[in-house]
Amino acid sequence: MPQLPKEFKSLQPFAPEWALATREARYHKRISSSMEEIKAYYDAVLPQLDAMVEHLNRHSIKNLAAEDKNLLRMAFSAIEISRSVEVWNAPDNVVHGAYPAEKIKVHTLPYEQAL
Amino acid sequence: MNKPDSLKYAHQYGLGSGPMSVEPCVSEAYFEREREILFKHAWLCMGREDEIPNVGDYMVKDIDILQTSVIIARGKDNKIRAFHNICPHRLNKVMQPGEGNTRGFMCQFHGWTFDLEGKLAHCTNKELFNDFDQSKHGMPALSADLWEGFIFINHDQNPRDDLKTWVGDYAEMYAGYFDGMSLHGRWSVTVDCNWKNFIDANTEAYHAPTLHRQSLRDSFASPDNPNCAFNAVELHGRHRLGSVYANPGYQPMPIEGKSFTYAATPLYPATAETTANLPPGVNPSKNPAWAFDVSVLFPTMQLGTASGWYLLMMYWPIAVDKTLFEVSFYCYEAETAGDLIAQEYPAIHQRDVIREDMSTLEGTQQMIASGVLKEMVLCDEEITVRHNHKSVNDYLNENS
Repeated sequence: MPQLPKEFKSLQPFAPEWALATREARYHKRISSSMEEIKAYYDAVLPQLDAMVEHLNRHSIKNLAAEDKNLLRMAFSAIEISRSVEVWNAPDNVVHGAYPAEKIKVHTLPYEQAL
Repeated sequence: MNKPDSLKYAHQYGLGSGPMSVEPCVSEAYFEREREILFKHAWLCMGREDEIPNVGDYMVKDIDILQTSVIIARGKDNKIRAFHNICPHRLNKVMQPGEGNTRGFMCQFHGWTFDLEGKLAHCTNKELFNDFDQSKHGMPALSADLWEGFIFINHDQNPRDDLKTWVGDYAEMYAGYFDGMSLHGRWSVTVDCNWKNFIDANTEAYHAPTLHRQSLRDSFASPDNPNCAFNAVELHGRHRLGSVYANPGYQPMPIEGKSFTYAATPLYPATAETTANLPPGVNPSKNPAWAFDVSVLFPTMQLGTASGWYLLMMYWPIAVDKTLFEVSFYCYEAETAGDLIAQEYPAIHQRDVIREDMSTLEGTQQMIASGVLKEMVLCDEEITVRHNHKSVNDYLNENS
């Protein structure tokens, strides 16, 4: 199970679902999640986000510890789901019939493996 | 607020204001003319030079509109070359699409091997061939050149225009803008629509207050600019750009707003400071109430230039009603995790907004194909659409 730094133990229950290594994985997680799951994570992460950035900014991004990498991925997931809650009130922007999410291929790039 | 001038760009650029034929979006014959007259002689962007930074780095891409597959490789002399992905022996395809690093390219059929310049380096049991001149059996070249770090190829070995001439005014407009930004995201999709309609949907802003009314809320429109009129439109030969307005009074949502504060240099909103040092082609009006520019280097390379990041959008026609679309996101090397998290916002947001732009494409294509109506009606702000279709048509007429 992906571990988070101990200061962020309130987010630990969400880590298996949301500490995902690639943008591709986070995209698929969002579009396959229910709004209840997304809202639960959003409500948990929003009040922590500033502290997460502050914590991560104390370390070089070139060699983050495993638990800090997980924390960074949790922050990326917060970005990924933010519009589901803040704009669409749905996992995806289906209101205007956006092009079907599953037809989009999100590529995983070398820089992500380096993070 | 004054009544908008419905002939502003019509007067400025003299492209008229009448309806335009949609036949070029559904005609198979027109598509074949585009292939033979335009695309087989056009400079087409293949990505960034720094995607293949080392000697032996290569990329392989099937290009439907050119009816070929292409290898692009960096040679021992550090030069980037392009050749058809074909073994001149029995004409097998040598490499599968993808990228990597190699000392040469070996055909898996009989073991013929080509060096990084496409020359035949090894022919298996050469003595079995009669009167064999190894130097005559390399992989056939395409033209390749660079502009501002972008790799371009041209199917024509003796192009009508060299790349510098092709790029025209754009040569100087972006000087230095792309330097230091690197690939930080990519997504792709194949859509059942004509490539010109696809570009149209992504290069006018008249649709924003309607199509994006939920996703963009009031970020691209305000009482001062309710129709999301461009800050500026520039036509440079066959290339075009529209500079997209941003509402300076926009109040971001919670995580969106936080993301703006996490970068050392905020990516949004633009300020007088962040726009002052941009080259002439980026935010050409230098108005801080600016989101990004939609800029097309003819025929199919679109740049979405913003402050601190840009998009490279490439349209690859497959059929008259089918197009592969590839979007790459570039930004500065992050120094802190805060930078990375701030960059994540536009990287994701643009994808989901462009998916809204794409939502109309297949319906538009379907109804053009119905033949019920033969023309589209364009407002003055849709000059970018008018210029897109006119540039293609003019090119075909001038070169046939």
